Amino acid sequence: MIAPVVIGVLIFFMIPTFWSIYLSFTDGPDYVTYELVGLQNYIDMLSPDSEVWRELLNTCYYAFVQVALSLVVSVLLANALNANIRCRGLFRVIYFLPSVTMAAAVGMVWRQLLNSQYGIVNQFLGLFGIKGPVWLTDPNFMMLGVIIVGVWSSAGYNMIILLAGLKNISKSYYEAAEIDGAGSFQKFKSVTVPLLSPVLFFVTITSVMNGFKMFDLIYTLAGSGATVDKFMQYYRTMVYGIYEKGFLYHRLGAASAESVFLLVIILILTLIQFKLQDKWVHYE
Amino acid sequence: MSEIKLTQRKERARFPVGRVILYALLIFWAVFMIMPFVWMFLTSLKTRPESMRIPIQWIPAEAQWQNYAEVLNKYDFGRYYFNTIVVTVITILYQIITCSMAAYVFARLEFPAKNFIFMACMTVLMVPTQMIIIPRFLIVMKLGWLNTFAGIIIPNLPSIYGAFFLRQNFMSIPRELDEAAMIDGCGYFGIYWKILLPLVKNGLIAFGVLSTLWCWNEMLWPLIVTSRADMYVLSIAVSSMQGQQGNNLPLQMTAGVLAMFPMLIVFLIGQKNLLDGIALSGIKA
Repeated sequence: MIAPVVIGVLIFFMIPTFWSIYLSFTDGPDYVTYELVGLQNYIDMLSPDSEVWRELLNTCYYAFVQVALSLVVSVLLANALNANIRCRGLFRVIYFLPSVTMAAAVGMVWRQLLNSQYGIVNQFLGLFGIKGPVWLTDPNFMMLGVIIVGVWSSAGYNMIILLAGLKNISKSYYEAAEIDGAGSFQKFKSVTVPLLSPVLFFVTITSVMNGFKMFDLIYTLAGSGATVDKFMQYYRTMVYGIYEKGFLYHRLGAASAESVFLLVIILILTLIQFKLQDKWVHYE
Repeated sequence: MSEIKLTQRKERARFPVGRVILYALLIFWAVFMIMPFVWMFLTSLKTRPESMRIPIQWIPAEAQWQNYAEVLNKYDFGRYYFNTIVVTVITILYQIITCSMAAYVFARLEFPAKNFIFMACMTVLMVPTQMIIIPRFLIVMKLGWLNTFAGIIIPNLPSIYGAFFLRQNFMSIPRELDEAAMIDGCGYFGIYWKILLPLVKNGLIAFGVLSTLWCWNEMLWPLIVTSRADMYVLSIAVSSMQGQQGNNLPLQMTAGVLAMFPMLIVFLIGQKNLLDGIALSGIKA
C-alpha cells in the first residue's frame, strides 16, 4: 500500500537529487554528452563576476522582505478577524482568493497594474498627489514591485493558519492578563505572541522556503521573456537562473551546480531557524 | 446563551472607535485583494483603445464578449482546457488514492524499516522540486516523454506532502475502531477502505482541493517538458499569450480569466474544508 508513494519518491525525488549533485561536476555541449570536469562549475559559479551573486541577492531580498511584510500584515489581519467580527467567513474567503489564483496569471495582471502610465497602482497613488515610480524598469523599484505582488498573494494563506492558531489560545490567559491590568498591546505582547509562536514559526519557515523557490511570478511579471537583459538582472532569482542555464542555454552542469547551491542555502537557513527557535518559540 | 450575546453586545458598544478602525482595515485589505480581479475581468470585456485610457475607464462602453470566443477558438484555449483537465484529474485521483494509503500505513501499521522510510521521506520533503528539475527532465527525455501527457503528469504524481497531510487525519481517529473491525474479521485493507477512509473525508477533500490548485496552476515543469503548442497547459498558454500579445490587454486578460475561473469555482465549493484543513496544518505541525 505504501509502494506507489515510496517508489515514486525514489525515482522522481531521491535519484534526481543525487543525480543533480553528480551533474554539477560535469559539463557538455548538449543534453546527451557530458564529461566530468571536477569543480569547474563551482569555481565559475562562485567567481566574483558570476551572475549568481546578483541572483542570490535578489532572491534573499525578495524572500526576507516579502516574508517579513506578509507576516506583519497577516498577524494584523488574523488578530482583527479574531475579534468579534461580522462576515468573518466572507473575509476569510476574500483574503484567500489570491492564493488560489495561478501565479502566471497573477504576474500577467500585475505587470499591467504596475504599468507607470495606465496602471491603476500609479493612478491610485496620483489621487494622493504621489507620483508613482516606474515599477517595471526602475532598478530601485523593480524587486519592490515583485514584493508587493508577493505580499498580495501570500498574506491570506498565512492569515488562515495564524487565525487558527489564535483560536487555539484559551480565553483564560487573556482574562488572567486583564485581571493583572494588562492593556491591549500588553496582552498582545505577553499572551498572543508567545502562545502563537509555534504557528508563527511554522509560517515563517514555509514562507521563507517558498520565497526561495519563486519562479512563476517573476517569469510573467517580467513579461514572459519581454524584459531585456539590462533590466532582467534586477528580477532574476536563483530558480530563474537554474531555468535559464539549463533550458535556454542547455548548460546542465552549470544549472545543476546552482541547484546544489540553492539546496545548501535552504538547508542552512532552515538549520538557523531551528536553532533560533529556542530563543523565541514557546511550546506548551 | 443570552448572557454571552449580552456581553458581546457590550463589548461592541464599548469600543466604537476601535471597531471602526478594525472594519476600515479589514475592508481596505479586502478591496486591495479584490481590485486586481475586478480590473482583470472588466478589461477582458474592453476594446483595445478602452483598455489603455488615462485616466482609467473602468466600465467598457459595450461588453466585448467576443474576446472570449476569440481566445477559445482562434487561440485554441479549448485545447488547453482539455490538456489541463486531463493532467489535473489524473494527478489528483492518483494522489488521493496513493497518499491516503501511505498515510494509513504511516499512521497505523508497524513493520521493520518503517521509521527509516518515514525519515527518508521527511528528508526528501526538504529538497525543493525546483532543484531536481534537470535530472527529472533527463529521465523524461530518455523515456521519450517530452511533449506527452506522461511527461507532464508522472514525475509530479508522488506526493509526500499529501501522505503527511493525510497521516494527521488518520491519527486523529481512535485506534479502538481498527481493533473492533479487526475482531469482526476485517483485514488491513478493509479497515482502511471501509472504516477509516469515510471518516477522513474532510481531510481528503481538503487535500484534493489543495492538490487540484497546485496542479492546475503549476508552471515551471510544464514549461520545461512541453515545447509543442498543442501540449500546452493553461499556465503556459497564458504566459505565451502574454509574450505574443504583449500590447493587447483585453485578450491577455480574457486568457487569464479563462485560466483561473475554474479554480475559483473549485475553491468556492471546497472552501470550508480547504481553509479548515490548511488551518490545521499549522497547528498540528
